[in-house]
Amino acid sequence: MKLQPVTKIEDLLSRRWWLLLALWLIIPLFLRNWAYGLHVLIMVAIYVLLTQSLNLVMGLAGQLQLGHAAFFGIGAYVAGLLMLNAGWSFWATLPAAFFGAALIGLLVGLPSIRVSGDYLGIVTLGFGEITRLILTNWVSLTHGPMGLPGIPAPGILGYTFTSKLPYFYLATALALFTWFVLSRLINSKTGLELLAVRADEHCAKVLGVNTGMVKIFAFSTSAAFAGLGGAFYGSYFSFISPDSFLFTDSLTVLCMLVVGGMGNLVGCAIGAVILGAAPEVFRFLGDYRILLYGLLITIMVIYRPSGIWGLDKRRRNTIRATCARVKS
Amino acid sequence: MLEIKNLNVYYGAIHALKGVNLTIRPGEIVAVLGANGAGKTTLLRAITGLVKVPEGEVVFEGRVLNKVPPFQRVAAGLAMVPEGRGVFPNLTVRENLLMGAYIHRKNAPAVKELLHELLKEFPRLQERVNQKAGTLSGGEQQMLAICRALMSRPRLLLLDEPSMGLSPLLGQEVFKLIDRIRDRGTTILLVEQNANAALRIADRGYVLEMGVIALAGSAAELAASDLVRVAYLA
Repeated sequence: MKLQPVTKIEDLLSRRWWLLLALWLIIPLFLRNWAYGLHVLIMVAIYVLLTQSLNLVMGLAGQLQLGHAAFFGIGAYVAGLLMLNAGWSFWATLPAAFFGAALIGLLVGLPSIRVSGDYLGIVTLGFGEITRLILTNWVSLTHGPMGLPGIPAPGILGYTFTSKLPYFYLATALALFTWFVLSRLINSKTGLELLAVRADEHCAKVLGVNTGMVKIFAFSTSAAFAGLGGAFYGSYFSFISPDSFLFTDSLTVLCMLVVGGMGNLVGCAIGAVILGAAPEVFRFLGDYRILLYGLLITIMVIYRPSGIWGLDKRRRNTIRATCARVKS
Repeated sequence: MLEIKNLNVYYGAIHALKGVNLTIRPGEIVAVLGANGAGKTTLLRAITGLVKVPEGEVVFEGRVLNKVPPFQRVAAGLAMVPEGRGVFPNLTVRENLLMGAYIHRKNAPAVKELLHELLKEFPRLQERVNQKAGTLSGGEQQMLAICRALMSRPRLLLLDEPSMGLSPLLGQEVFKLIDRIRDRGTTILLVEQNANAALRIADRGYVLEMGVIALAGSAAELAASDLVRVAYLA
């Protein structure tokens, strides 16, 4: 059974993506002196990373995760503390934040074996709050509400990041790394396992899937990438405090996921770009933009619950289905 | 092949199965009949491990399964087609079938061959192999669910109301398919409300009523019994 490749459609698709990426990489060169614009782009890149990592656990494994910002915070604190107290370089703290957050994610994933749905939402929400409280109250380690000031900037070969431009490329690199790894993961057998657990956990179990392990893996991997983003965030702002990683931040990322499209990495990126940039673009509306934000989400949930580019647009399906049509 | 001894299952305060005994011999089709809420699905869930069994034993090919987690029971040779089909709507037909061969995932060539064989036998699935399972008709979905279960090469296939929600004609086709699967050497436990059709292909049967085996016997005996005639065949 061989499918005829539909070169035109596939080429067009991939060429368009490369073009977009090139655009994304070139535009900042013209914004070099507009720090604010660059800042928005950097935050959008971080939001892409966060939304895509949340997508793994919510969009694919279908587990309600309301404490995603906590992993972002854990990554930031792990990296920040290692740099300030142990004198590690920024690059060495990246894997530390990655695996540190993964370990905590693994622990948070454990309850998902027994608890599901809304109840799991409460567990993860509680975890987010606990993290915030620990960061606030463990003063001897975290300086409590005063936060960690003076986190050093990253540097390469003696050059230390000072302007926003290198930060932009670093954030983009991290987001692309996340995108690449997650897309490999999702298009592998693991992706099928995750989707099976989301669609019908009992059914997946009866087919031989160790659903508990799959869920824990999703929680842990998702947390790891959020931690990676956190390590960057701390260095970029050079200051972090428990207030930087609140429930509302988890919600922001969740909204990006819902608007962009659950279960689809491209959808995640679209959601992160739209909701990440919209509040800045519509800043002239003042506080009314929050209203606009709410309106947008309401409209999306009513008219397009699967998101702008959701699971129904899975590439594997659309392209192969097109191939099959052309063949017949 | 499968022996269930004094099986008791509770959902909270509800005593769903009360001391059920049941035997399946290799090569048989055994039907379990019963009305809604009689405990048929619970029986299957106990066999596959989706509910805990506080009392009694599930013995498959001489091995006590009580402590074996569900995902390992598939490797032991059990496969289930869940009620209401339970295909993965967002996965393609091919992906659904591959998930069926999940326990053989380390042996890709064998899975490929199995898939090829199965698709040759079911041209309708072959035509739709890249289509999402959610876009198939009810009958096609049932066929896919059964094929998916076959992809694990089970020795015992558990079917939960395979004719549910299908037109009588499609239902008949499904029963014919089940008969064909048995002829190829897979033992079958068939849970059904459609007693007439189930008893036509079954060798033996059990009638479950309120969590108790009310009647057991050969298919012919059951079809002739007053209990079954009045309750299910009238």
